[in-house]
Amino acid sequence: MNAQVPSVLDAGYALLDRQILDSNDEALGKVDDLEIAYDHLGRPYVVAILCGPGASGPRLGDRLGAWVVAVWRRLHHAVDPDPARIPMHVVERIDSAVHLSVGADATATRALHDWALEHIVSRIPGADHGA
Amino acid sequence: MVPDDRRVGLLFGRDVVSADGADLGRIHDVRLRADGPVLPGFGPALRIEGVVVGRGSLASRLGFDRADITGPWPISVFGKRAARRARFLPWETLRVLDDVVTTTRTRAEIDRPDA
Repeated sequence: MNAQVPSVLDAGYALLDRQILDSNDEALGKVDDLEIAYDHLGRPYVVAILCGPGASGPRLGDRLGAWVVAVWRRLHHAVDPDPARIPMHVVERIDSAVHLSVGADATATRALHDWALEHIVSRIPGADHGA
Repeated sequence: MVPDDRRVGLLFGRDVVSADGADLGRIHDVRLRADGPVLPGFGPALRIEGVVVGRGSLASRLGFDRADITGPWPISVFGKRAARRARFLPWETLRVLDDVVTTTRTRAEIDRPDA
């Protein structure tokens, strides 16, 4: 079954910075950029949603963007990390949010979140008192 | 890393110059149309049809330059003004260079597309 998407949409207005929800309506992050590929005629089309600091940093540009990317790379476990990537085939619907057909575990969008939870938040005194 | 030429977000804010050297403003948005190659599980991919360019304005930055923004009236007025100044350029007329985007159309062709 095809995804439910508008036939025409402006990326900046209707896609970038929208919330991404998994199949349980859990928020995974925001659409920070779109990855494109080129067809046999050289026309670009969207193949994936990129999210996280590795995607939003370059959009910010200048020193702030470079700093965001540098911090993200330093914290990432991979030597040469790529931004979290959500292929379009798991996008089920685009409306005021981007709805996925899979759960959060099937995406890599929460890697930094999970790392920060394990290495930083859990070490704060009283962290285990949370709900 | 995903190369810069494969990221839609990096098109935003780029300066656009016409074939006769006129400054057309900056890219405000990238228009997508669902008629690209079929992606299994998704359907026709969202193809980049073109870009919306125009002079920078507060209304554009805040996203008020849209037909479906109807008020309050000061925002609506400024938004409609920004929307009138915005121009759509088809992707096939564009050439994306390192620091600027050029179009094969002249300023006159862009301002009067039916001429």
